[in-house]
Amino acid sequence: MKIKNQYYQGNGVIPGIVIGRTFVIEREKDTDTHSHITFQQVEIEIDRFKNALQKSFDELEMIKNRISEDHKDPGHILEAHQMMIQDEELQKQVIETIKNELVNAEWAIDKTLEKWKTLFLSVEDEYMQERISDLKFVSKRLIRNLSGKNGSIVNPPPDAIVIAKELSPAETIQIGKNAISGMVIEKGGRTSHTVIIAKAFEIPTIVGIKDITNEVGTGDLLLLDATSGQLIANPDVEMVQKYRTRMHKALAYEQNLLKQSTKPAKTKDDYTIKISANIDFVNEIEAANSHGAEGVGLYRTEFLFINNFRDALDEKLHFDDTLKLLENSSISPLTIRTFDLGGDKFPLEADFSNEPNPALGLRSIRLALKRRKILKSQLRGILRSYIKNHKVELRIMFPLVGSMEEFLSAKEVYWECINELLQEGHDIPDNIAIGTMIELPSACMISDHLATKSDFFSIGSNDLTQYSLGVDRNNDMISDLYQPLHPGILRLIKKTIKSAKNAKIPISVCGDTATDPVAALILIGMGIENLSMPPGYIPHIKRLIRNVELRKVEKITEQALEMQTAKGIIQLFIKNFEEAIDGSRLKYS
Amino acid sequence: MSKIHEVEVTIKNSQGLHARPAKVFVENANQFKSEIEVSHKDAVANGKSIMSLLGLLAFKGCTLKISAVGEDAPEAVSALADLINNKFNLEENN
Repeated sequence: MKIKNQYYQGNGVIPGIVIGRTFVIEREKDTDTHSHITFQQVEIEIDRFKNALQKSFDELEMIKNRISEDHKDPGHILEAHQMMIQDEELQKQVIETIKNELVNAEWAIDKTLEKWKTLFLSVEDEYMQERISDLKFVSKRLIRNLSGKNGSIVNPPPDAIVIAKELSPAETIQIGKNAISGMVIEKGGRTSHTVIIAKAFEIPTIVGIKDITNEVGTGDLLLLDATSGQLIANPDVEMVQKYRTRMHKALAYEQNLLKQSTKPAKTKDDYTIKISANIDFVNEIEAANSHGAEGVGLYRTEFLFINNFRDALDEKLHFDDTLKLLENSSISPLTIRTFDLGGDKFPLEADFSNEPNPALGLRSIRLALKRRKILKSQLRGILRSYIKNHKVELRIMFPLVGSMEEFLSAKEVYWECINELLQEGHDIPDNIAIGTMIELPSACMISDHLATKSDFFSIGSNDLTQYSLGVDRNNDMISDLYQPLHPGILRLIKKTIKSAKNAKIPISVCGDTATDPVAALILIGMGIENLSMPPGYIPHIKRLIRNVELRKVEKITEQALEMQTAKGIIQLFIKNFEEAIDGSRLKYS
Repeated sequence: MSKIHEVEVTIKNSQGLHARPAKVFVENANQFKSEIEVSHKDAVANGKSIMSLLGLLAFKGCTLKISAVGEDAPEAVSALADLINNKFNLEENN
């Protein structure tokens, strides 16, 4: 008998909620096809091998021709596999193995690719696993074609939810063409080729549910919630209805939220929290406007540097860019962060990308202070555009400040620019605020000092979490340790808020943390009056704030700050604000 | 005898000399007549063979030496170095 409502948890890598019937892709058992051959059979085996090469290449070509040109990533991956099949080094080694070791083509392929696999395994790199998968997919295709078996084994019905141990990129493309509604794959990380392809086809996908191919059978009913990574097998009627209603409501709900988002975020007891937008490109200012942002809390300027430092030395680049932002913005203030390069972001030149530990290396403000000319070009460009158009308020902030000296040096560069511009005869508006981004534990600890010299603080919660916990948030192996609501981090934030309040300077939070309803509540409960986030989240967080009483949030936050685990803190908030929190999560993204 | 042209370049894309980047490299290398070798530490690879390049085990931050011999060697070396500097003209995922 089937168990009803069986829950499984994996990683949702492509969001979306779907209901459908499973189609389990069975793997044919690897039969032992290895055999020795006689000297006379060598030529026959080489011919078989060459035929299989041709057939495999043609198969991939056929699959490639069926995908549209918009799908660049899938195309590249298939072409890489084709190139591996055509590779002369590979062919030479397989043929030599057939000749020298008198083994059949299947065995020779396995032996040759095993050598590469051993080689790949000899280094520790998170992407090596993907290379090994590539090898395996290529060798499987070759060996299948040696056996004369037909290639197109997988043909799930439309609307099916495909369940597989693993899928090759080519198989994913074939399946993606069948208009399936979702995928669950046992193996594969966020960056695997298969996931990249599923992304291009926008198929809701969950990875990392162990042994799921043995847990469900073809035809079982499934609820796949790839937004939360949850899978429910054999849901009962009530559950299906619940989900169906939820899906329909979610859409209507999102549209309604968007309509409400132009109004301010006022708590039930009449306190207003300001919600601003994080943007990466100037043209995102439109999304910020339409989603109800009340300012830009973070404009990341990194993309201006994407090509090389030489371009970034050009003051005009920064002038034009900022001017466009100023001209198109109806919201105020605009907060521009000076370039935050190095570390994981756009390592540009050889001397910077060779660092053993880039996250702890020459990045961000450290890099800017070593390359003052670039920082000056950027600041001068920003200031000149503001001289020309200052209808909104401008704020400039420096990232990754770790010490008083650093902040003062950065400010010195700013004043140099101001003095130069004054000497050049410009009139400079006097309402420009210079702030510190707080994203290192050291900055939190000396926030009382920093507050005496800063016009505002902005907490960058992503880096603050990473540096406080010593956890790389992009590393899948320790992603469970990345806890933005770790009690230690809350203490650092609390200390920083206190420093800002004592010095009477504004403080905001612009990291991803603010997009999580629980975290947003804790932040406002600790006294944050301004949250900044990607435009898409603004309607939801505004809705959250409208549904709580600030006094109660403050009371619960006080209790939370006494708790010992992030888990406990989250549970406490969910218990007290369940409806407000649930209704404010992103349903579709 | 033709002169060897060489240049050293550091890999900047996060995935290193992975299947797609290696594919793009070979496509570009094939546009030149010169013989092209790529070395990383002690390992030397044929710049026109994807399997050979994958076998270099080169990831982000590794320094590669590109050497070319032939009539269009200087152009080949500089074009391939640019390609690596431009992260193989591939968009980074994530």
